[in-house]
Amino acid sequence: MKRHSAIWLVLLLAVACTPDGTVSRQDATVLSGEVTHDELLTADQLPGHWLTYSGGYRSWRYSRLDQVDTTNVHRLSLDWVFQFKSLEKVETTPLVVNDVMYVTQPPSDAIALDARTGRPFWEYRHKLPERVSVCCGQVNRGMAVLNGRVYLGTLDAQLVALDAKTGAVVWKAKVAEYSEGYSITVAPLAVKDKIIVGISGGEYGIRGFLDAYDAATGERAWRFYTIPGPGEPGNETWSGDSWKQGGAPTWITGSYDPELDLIYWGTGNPAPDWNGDVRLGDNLYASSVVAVEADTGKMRWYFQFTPHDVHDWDSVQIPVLVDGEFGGEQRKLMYFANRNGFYYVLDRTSGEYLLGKKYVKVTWAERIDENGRPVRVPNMEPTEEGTLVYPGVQGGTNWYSPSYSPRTDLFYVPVWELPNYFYKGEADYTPGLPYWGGLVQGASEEPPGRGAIRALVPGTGELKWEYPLLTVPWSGVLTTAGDLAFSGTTDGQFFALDARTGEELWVAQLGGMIATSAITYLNQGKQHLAITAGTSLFTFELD
Amino acid sequence: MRNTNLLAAGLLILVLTHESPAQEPITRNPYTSAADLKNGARNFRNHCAICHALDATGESGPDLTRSEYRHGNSNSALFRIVSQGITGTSMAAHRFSDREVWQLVAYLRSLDRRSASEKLRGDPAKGKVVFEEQGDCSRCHMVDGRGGRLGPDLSDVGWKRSAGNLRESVLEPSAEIGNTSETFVDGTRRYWPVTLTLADGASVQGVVLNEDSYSIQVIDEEERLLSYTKKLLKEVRRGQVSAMPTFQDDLTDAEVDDLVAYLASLKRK
Repeated sequence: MKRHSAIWLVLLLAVACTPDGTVSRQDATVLSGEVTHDELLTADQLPGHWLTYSGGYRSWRYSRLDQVDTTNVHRLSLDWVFQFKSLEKVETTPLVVNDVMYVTQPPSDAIALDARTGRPFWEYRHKLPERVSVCCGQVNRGMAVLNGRVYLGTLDAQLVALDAKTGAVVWKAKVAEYSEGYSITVAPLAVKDKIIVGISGGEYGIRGFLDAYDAATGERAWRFYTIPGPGEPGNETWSGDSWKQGGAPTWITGSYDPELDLIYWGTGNPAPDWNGDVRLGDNLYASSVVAVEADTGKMRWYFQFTPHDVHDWDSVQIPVLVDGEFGGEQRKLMYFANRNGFYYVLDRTSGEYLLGKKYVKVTWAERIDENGRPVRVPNMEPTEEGTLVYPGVQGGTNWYSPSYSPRTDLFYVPVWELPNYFYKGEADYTPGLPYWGGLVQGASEEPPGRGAIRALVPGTGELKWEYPLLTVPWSGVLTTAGDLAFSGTTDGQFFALDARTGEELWVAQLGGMIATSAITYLNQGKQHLAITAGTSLFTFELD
Repeated sequence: MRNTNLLAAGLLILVLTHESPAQEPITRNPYTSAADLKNGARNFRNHCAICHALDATGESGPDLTRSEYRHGNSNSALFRIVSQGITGTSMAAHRFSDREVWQLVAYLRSLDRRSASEKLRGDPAKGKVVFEEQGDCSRCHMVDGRGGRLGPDLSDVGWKRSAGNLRESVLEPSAEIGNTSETFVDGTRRYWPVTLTLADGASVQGVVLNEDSYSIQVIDEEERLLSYTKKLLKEVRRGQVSAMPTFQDDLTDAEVDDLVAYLASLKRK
């Protein structure tokens, strides 16, 4: 035994590496999900890895790696490809820890890959019931990692803790009842000793919430309902019993400010989507961002972008946390490009509204008033006959990751310029069935929709540059210290832009829709990029 | 969470194996009263129109006003398709009660009657002659491997379009073309005319087969497949009307009837 232990110790010393990007191992790959909360706190300073959905608690999706830069990006070439055993849309962001890549496979599977070769160490196949209620494909967006475990949300609304070395189930927690329209597509977020997880089901009349689970045991630590119950402030913003099935899901990973100890999370549309008559009032806290205490789940503040939303403009976009100057004052800011077509700046300590400016064509509101409320244009609600509105149901942007680069001080957002006709319909609620209250249709007489990647000056919302696309993008943006902005197209092109100017520097055709955002990390000391397209995962390095 | 592509989530692309309607057992629909029909229409609007359009003539999903469906036309086939979906397509299973499914079937039947009221007046055999001679349609359209390549293959168009829709295509092609899932894919107006100006000033005329942000694929009038990197082109000029001419003045009413009857009969499996 003693001899064994000594050998293991030597081996471990030989191959040990720390998440600082300086890899000190020899030949073997160390399989480990040993990420501590302290390391997560400094994730964006450990660019050798990719430790949370957005690359760090501030959700910049920015990397300090600069080996690949504007002068050599044209030399990027394929390293390896991993083909998923699924035909569903891939929306996942992998995590990379000590040369192991943790990636989810639709519908609700988890895989640990050797980041050097793309070969799996283990796979966890989650067995789903025959029918789950999902509006938009059997998708999953990724995992969280903490202290030797990875955490996966599933379409049957469970949170699963897996041993990072084997994929063995450590615990499973039932988050909600899947047969009532609840599902999980979001990548959880590890904060201190808890796993934060949101819920999907805004098209099925759920009552949304944000949950925290004890990472060690799987016991629920707290639940914050995004729709207040009777007697709680905000419940009066829902007519009758509409709060019970008012939606407000939480299906994209939020952000965390450790100094304020606040978790920021966007909330989805109120239900039913397009018929607001059955839920008169502002419908708090749907289509909002909420700030909740990490230890208790108690809400500190909220900001509702679209009061009484009737266009399905979820506000699940990722809150980007930047400490910067606004109005001549140093503040803790939140940058937020909302699906409703306005770009916002908020004070993230108090939730105070600071700025709201259109970043796409908007016909439903003239402007945002001094209190942060939209000044609505009359008669833009869905009707029996259909109402033409810009932006369309997908909004100016949707869940695709934005990015912030401290080097350029620009905010990057994939945008859609596309209207829809919004129709009001009847709204009958049946648990587990779609609860839309209408429909949307394309507007074929309007000019064809177009997409773009836009770089905004974050303090003013002014457009710095635009990279136009023929089709609307489903891919977010990654920026790097090499002054590059990476994104992808619906048509399968993975591209790199000069983050300062928007100039196109490199394009690769990957042969399938890109419906996620790129990550970057070190492997063998070399900067790599990873992105999914179609049903495959591709990695790139300089040749 | 909704998105336009998710609107394609209910897409009823009738592309897979065909089940012979003759093999379907005859099942009587127990819910066909006026109230049932009304409820079927209501559920259609709430759950189906998002892909099949409010008037059921198709948006991202196919036209349901056709007299015949590819995956079966019997009551039991329709019941199965609505409740279980079509494997391998975006037509999802729906959790309606049996009664609601029957009401939807009743509603679909009422649509059938509507399109049938526009009875095929023509003679398909004569229409074939119109297609090949007076109309010269086969210059651009292929049927069962014979014909041109500048327009869509029409070998199975009888499965995809209603007679009314076919008539509109013949008489007002620019009004219709570009709005169906077949001809409008990811922002690309397939078969729409385009003139490309090359770097050396030369000009290429053809119709668009595919396009993305970086490149465009066309077939020119000599049926050459051409692909260009957009950056290297001086100009991409899109035609404002369909490459397909209108036959409003060139064919008699009887010839149009015959042509529509012929097109409706094209049902290659």
